[in-house]
Amino acid sequence: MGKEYLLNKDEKHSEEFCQLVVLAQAGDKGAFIRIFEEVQESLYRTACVILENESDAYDALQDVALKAFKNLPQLREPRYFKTWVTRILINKCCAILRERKKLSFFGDMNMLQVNLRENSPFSIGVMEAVSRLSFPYRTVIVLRYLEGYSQKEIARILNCPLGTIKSRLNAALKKLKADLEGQGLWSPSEEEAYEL
Amino acid sequence: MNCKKARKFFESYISGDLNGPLADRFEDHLRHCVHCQRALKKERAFILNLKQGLVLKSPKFYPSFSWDRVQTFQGRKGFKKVAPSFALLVALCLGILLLLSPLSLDLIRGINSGNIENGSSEIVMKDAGFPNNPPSEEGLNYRIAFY
Repeated sequence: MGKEYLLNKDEKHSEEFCQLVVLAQAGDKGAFIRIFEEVQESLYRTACVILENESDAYDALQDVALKAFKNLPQLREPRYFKTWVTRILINKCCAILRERKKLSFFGDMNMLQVNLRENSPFSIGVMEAVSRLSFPYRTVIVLRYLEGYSQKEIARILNCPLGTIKSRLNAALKKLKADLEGQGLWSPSEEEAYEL
Repeated sequence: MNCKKARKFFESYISGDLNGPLADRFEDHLRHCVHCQRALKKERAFILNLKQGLVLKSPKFYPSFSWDRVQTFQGRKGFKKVAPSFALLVALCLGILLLLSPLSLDLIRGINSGNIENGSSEIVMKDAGFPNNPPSEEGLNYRIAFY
């Protein structure tokens, strides 16, 4: 039997989840651990792709868990917990990348490629192309296509206008397409294109 | 709506985020534009492949995530724990204010003047460094007033 999830498929938090958030806001550590475990895997995947390094992603997640517990009383709407904690994670990743830039350290794409579900040349090429994107574009691609957030939710997470998110997504897709075409991994003919 | 504008909405339309009058105008343009129809098919195919390429397995560190820092966190104290120290602080501030208030200063001055009248002039004179021969009564009163 699989684990019982409190989050519904459309990512709207259930009543039980919101109650646990309220308990965690009052200081219940057990409740906090439970709600954080619901979103942990998603946060870890996001951090892995943005930081291109599993151990950095793990450290980031540890810091995010503590910061989320400290600041949880500031969350006004329990149903936005996942969006709120994702924002903390993105800010943490940004800080780590800024620090890394000072030390001229680059991520380890080989470590990340081991965790790809499909080790096809296209998957590896996609991961490499995503790693070559700048932080703003990489973030929107990861949130949109890896974690499945809508454009509105991404705008809320990154605290940006919706128009900015739309233009970033379009620009990021254009760059990715150009990169994959350059690698020879993408060039669909009319016959290969999917039906509407 | 022209082709240049329509292509900006491809991503929103594919992900289902395009609705209302804008969606109607977009679909109207698609009906009449073969180029945009082909371009939309390619874009949809690309996004589908991108999603498939970005799928990761469950991370290795995941099962051993440590909750120690959260479990040992003491920082966020409730009102019941903060109240005694807060009350002590308030009492201390009130005590200082009371000491420095004009009423208490008058009281202190009053006590001092009462002691001199009761004959502790010798102490005052010794503290002031007077010689063994004390001055006349007039001089003493002058010095007491000064102090």
